[in-house]
Amino acid sequence: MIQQLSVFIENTPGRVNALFQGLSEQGINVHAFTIADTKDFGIARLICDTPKKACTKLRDAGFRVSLTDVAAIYVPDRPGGLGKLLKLTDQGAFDIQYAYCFSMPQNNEPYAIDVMRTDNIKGLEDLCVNAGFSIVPAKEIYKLD
Amino acid sequence: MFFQKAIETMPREQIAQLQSHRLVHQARRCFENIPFYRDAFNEKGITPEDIHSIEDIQKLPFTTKQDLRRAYPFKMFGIDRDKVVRIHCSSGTTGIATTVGYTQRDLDDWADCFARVIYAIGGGRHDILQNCFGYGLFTGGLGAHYGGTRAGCVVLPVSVGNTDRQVRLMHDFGTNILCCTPSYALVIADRARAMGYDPVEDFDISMGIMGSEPWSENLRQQIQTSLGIKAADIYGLSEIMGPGVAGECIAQDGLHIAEDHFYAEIVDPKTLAPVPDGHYGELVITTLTKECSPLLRYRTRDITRIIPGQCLCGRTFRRIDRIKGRSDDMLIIRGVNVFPSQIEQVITEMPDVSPFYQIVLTNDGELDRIELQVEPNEDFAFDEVSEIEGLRDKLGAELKKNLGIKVQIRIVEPRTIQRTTGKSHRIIDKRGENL
Ligand SMILES: [Zn+2]
Repeated sequence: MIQQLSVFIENTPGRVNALFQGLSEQGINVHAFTIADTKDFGIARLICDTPKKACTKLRDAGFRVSLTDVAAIYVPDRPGGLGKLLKLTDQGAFDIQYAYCFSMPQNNEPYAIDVMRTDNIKGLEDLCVNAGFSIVPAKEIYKLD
Repeated sequence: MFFQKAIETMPREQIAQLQSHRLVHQARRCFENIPFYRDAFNEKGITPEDIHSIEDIQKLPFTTKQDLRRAYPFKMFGIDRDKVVRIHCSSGTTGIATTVGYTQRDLDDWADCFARVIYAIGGGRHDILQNCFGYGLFTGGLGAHYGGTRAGCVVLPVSVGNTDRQVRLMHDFGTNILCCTPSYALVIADRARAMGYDPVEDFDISMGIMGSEPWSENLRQQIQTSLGIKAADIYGLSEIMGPGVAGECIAQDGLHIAEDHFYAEIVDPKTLAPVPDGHYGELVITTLTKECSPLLRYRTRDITRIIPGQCLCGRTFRRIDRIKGRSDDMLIIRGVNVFPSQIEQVITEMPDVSPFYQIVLTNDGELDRIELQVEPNEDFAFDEVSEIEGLRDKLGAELKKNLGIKVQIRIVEPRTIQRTTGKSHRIIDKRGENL
């Protein structure tokens, strides 16, 4: 289980840029970024190396930020890799609210990390481990701040 | 408890007769003694002979604050100067004061009106009344002072300020009735606790008469529990008379207008047409008995409504609701009257949004549109679009329920909205502009 930053962003020009400016000024490294948006606003979701610090700094800079627990699972970076995982979660009847991927090599092997949000993260992780997947430990993604 | 039972419980037909009789007389006094009214009658093409009963009140001209300013200092006095025994005035925000004079009879009537409110909340002879309204040209201090004296209370003329002493006197003398503004009542309660007292246990105080600023039911509850009292709302305005024009009774369900002295109308502030009982509008007051500064159909700018039906206390005088706001602050959106205070109320009851807001009014050619911009609170936890949308929809539904119109809500990022205490910055009216 890792922590993701969820940032409220108004749909006005320059706001995403302002967000990244703010992060880089604090020396925060972003591994993954995705945005869910509507006509008026969006929610930017970020995986970064120091989530707690990023949360505090962004709040100070005037952003509305939430920290959200998500499951992060290694998926072989080849065709069908993610498909196998999704089939599994389907069978397990997990309500996946959203998911996204980013790649990060492990032991020089091409691996993708699939981030998934569900209400039962522990259950999802157990299911994945039993099926032979491995869970990304927090220390692999970020400095434990 | 009644101070003047026969008057306060007079049958409605008799009240109408009394009001009719007094209005006829008052219209004549105004016409004959005050040039402003003579001109206004002429302009309307009426004479005092056209006024036969209270039903004819709508024939009379309105009076505004501006009219009073123009009459500065004594041009609105309706009686010989040697009958005047007191002058109060309000400092206008524009710098020009409005002057109101009193004859001895005017002062006696005022004292009666205030004394009725003391009795209505359960007070009376020998009660110690601590008067923390400011003494001076402002009508609050002397209004409560002479009202308390008239009711037979022991009046403590402490005036406002020096809260430590207020608390000590309240404790040592065993004050029963506290007269002050609602916000000062909270200050006193806080100070008392800081000084080590529990006002509920340690003080004899059981009644409050509070006014001169708008207060919500929430604030009343807070005052009542922190001081262990029952607090009555009292209404007055310096142009008409200080506190006592209307006041609450023990039922705390609206303020009884002193209808033997004042006739109240509620009108639409734009069209000036009367609105039915129960509907909000601008309070218009005619003084039926005042000798020195009589006013016909004075536009108070205060928004309230007549509460329909009879009060449980047995008083027959009609009741106005607590003052909801000033008509100057009122917005008319798609024909519906909306007050920023109503929107504020809804916002403060939603823990997930911050109390800062901005209202933007636009018109897309035919329809007014109202957009409310609010910020999510710092500790509002969200991760999904649906949570923000849920917050927006919940706020929208509450506003629709409270205001009766659809409000577009825009959840904005923090610091988008200016931090200001003034109301004016919170409303941006772009209607009439080319967008
Ligand atoms: Zn009553």
